[in-house]
Amino acid sequence: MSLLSVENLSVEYRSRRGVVRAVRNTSFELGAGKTLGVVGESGCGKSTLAMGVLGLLPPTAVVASGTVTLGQRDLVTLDSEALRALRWRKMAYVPQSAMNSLNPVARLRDQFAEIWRAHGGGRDGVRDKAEALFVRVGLDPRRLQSYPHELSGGMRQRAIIAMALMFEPELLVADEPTTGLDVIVQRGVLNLLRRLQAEEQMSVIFVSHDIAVVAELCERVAVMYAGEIVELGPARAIFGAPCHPYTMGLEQAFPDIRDPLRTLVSIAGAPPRLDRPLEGCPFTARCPFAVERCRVEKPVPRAIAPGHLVACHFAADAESNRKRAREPMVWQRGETA
Amino acid sequence: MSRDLLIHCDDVHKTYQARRTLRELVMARQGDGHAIRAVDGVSFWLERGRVLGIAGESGSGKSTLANLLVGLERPTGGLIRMGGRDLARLRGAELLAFRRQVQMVFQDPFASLNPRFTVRRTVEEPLVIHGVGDRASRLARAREALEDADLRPAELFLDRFPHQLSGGQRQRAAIARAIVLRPSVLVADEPVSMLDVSVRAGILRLLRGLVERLSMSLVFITHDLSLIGQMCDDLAIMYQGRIVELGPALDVLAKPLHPYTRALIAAVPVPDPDQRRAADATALLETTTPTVLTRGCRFAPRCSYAVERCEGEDPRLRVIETTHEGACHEIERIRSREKETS
Amino acid sequence: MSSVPIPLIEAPAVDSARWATTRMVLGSPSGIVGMALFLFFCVLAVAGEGLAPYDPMAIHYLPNGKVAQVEAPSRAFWLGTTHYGRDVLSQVIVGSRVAFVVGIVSAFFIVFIGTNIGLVAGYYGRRVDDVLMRLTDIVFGIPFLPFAVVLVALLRPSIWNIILTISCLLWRTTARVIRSQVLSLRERPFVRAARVAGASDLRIMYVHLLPNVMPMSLLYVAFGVAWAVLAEASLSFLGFGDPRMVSWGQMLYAAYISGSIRHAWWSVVPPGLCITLFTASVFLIGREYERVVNPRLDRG
Repeated sequence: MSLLSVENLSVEYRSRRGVVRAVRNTSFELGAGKTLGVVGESGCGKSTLAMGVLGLLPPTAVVASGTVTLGQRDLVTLDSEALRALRWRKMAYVPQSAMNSLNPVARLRDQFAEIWRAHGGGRDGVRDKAEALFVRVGLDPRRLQSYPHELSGGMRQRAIIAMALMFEPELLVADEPTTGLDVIVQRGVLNLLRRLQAEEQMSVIFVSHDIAVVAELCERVAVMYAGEIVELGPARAIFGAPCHPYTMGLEQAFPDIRDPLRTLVSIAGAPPRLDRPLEGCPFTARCPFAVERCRVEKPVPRAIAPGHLVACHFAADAESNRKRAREPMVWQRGETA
Repeated sequence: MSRDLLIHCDDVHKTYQARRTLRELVMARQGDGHAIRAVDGVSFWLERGRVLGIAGESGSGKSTLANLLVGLERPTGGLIRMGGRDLARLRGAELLAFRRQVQMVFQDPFASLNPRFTVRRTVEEPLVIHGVGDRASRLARAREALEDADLRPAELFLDRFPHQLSGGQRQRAAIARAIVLRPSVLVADEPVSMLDVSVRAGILRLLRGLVERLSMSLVFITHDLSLIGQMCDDLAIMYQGRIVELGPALDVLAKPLHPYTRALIAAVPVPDPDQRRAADATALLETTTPTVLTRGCRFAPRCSYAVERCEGEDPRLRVIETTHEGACHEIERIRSREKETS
Repeated sequence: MSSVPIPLIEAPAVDSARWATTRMVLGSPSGIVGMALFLFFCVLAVAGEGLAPYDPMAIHYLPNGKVAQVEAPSRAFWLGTTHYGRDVLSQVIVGSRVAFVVGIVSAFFIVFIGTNIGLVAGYYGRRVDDVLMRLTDIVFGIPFLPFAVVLVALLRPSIWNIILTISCLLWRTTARVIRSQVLSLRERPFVRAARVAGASDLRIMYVHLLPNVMPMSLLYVAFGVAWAVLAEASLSFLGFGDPRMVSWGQMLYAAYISGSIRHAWWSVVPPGLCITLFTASVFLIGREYERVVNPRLDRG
């Protein structure tokens, strides 16, 4: 039984210069209490996807097609009032650099109170609730009196997480929850997130460019490239035996402190422009295994194992591809998309 | 055996005097007032052709150290020697000559390029400043630098502006600018942290390759320990303005001596869902930078191995194994405990 | 090390910074209106006497021998005549030239002084900044008209003294604005990179920073023109203008002291309208330009 079901969601940014298709035909499901990681590099559309799911797109962006079903409701069809009623209560969002977005001139307890009141929390009880939440995230409740700048980056991030949990939402979406934090502080926040995940019945979507963070936190992973989900499956499968060439490349490019001498791969080329229609597979120009067919025929995501979808014509050859993917030279094809 | 030493840092200090607030002046606070010791007694050697990594978190002083090495700031104590000359005493023509020898690559590729300059102007600028050659030869050297930085063919990039380049290309242009004078030392301050993952390896490989081809030395500053292994020959770990561990990079990563180094290595997440990193109990307390100086080890409040001695006596960097040094009283005891349990 | 050429992100066909800005300014309604008005006045100024039907200073007579005073607009005199029998239309046309000269020359000085002071103060900071900014504050404290009146009264009222007066005072805003820009630019890595490469302070200020503050300076040229024209008109209206020139302000002055301001709208409305429209056109262009330029300055 899935809590969240996204089907063929497409999001476009419209401006005088043209239309940018930032998210194209993405589909995934998220069960109650499960975690999903969305990984990809900058410009792949992962943040837009997160905002699209929650109805938090900026005015220049529209959902061009698709549905987002939370519980029984299609969020895409809801108006802003209905969405607002759901926000914080049923779905919570921790945006990128949230720790820098706290109101600098309001004490934390006032910021809690404001959210509480704005979303129908009633007049009393917010103080106790805030203190309890602070304890849960590992902060001293006395810190509620503080202003944001009196807290370090890691502490502010914990405060933000506490706020997001205020109404015990069914769905939490966190965008780059640990980016910008020091290594040890990041470790603390990661441990916290893991603990909360285990305790809560909340479904979580983590968006990150850091595959190590996603590997730590998520049971399932969606890999995005040029606005599309190119691979979706259990974290073990994605990391242990990736089937999409981009996933392979990404993992080869990522350093692993346990293997400091491994030669990292660099994928030559750049992602295709999203303001033009794309024929075929978007990764063709940079893919070591691409053939003519890839250029003209867009691969449809197909299940190669239960719960593991790959959008590649050669998903069946994954094992031999993986061997070749370990050689850095194979990734230097790069042409202009 | 004599080493070809390029830079020698000898007990270097950089202290900033924060402006005292009216309240403090009135209440006549004692002690240092608000002195911030960004770099607090750092010593090391940099040899020709080697890559030294400097790793640390924010507040460790690594960026300040970078500024000191390139002469953007002057130390408030200690000496930085290059070729036997004291960096702080250089003026005028000598300072200019020094600048030819030491160059820097910055963290933000876009902000480190003048948005109004073409790539050509950016790369030629150091040549113009030092009065090298004429227009034709400067252009030739700029082309060569761009090609050394893997921006080939150079023609394609010469007349572009920074906003017309991708992140990786911008950083390569910045690297071309840094090497056009053929310096002997390059200081790279987090050169890839703002680039996409799939582009990083290329830049790192480029830097490593330039070190070999141009016989340069590289000081590689980072907060990402995972990159150290393939970039650095030697590694220094900084904590609150001090070097707490120094040695060959692979040794430091494989057999860390200092508790802080252990905590750092243990804290890094790995891309493997089955290896959920066990939280090292040490160092998880988050502290803001203390302005009160203690007599003991700076790291003691967060250290799970701390004993009484650590609070009273500040450990110095000492040699544990030939080239591997650590600044901690308990190193031997920690190691023997490890041997027992393994 | 790869031997494959690294592909370039495709750039749009025409991407010269200058024309892109012009196109964007012209893309909006207020930009178009502003530009159109401005060009209109340009034409007037350039054509000058060539376009004017009569010599602006020539006194006209009625058939019966009397001076054609305060004649209402007619086919002979499209905008009527002044109290002194001069053709209003011709005066308005020639007046635009004076507006341009005063406006542009003053604006140039305003921006030249202001930009340099802002650059030096912002770059060096500390004492230099303190001294220069205190000076700027003093100049800010001086009210323009009373000071201008005193200055012009001491020197002869002439167009150059007016320009001098305007330039002496109105650089203050530009200085502040440029300084704040420099303060933020100064921290950017490309400035540090220039210093590490060995650039001197002067070189950093004028070769590296100046091109980046130029857009702002140009904006203040636009504003400077408007301020100068208004200032000159005010001074002239108060009687401190250059009596040998025909300027819009002088026209208003003449109408005022001769009393025709009370019943001859044609001696007042045309010059007043010109001042208003000219100033407005410059402000419109400046505002659109700022809107276009600012997001780019924030980029990165």
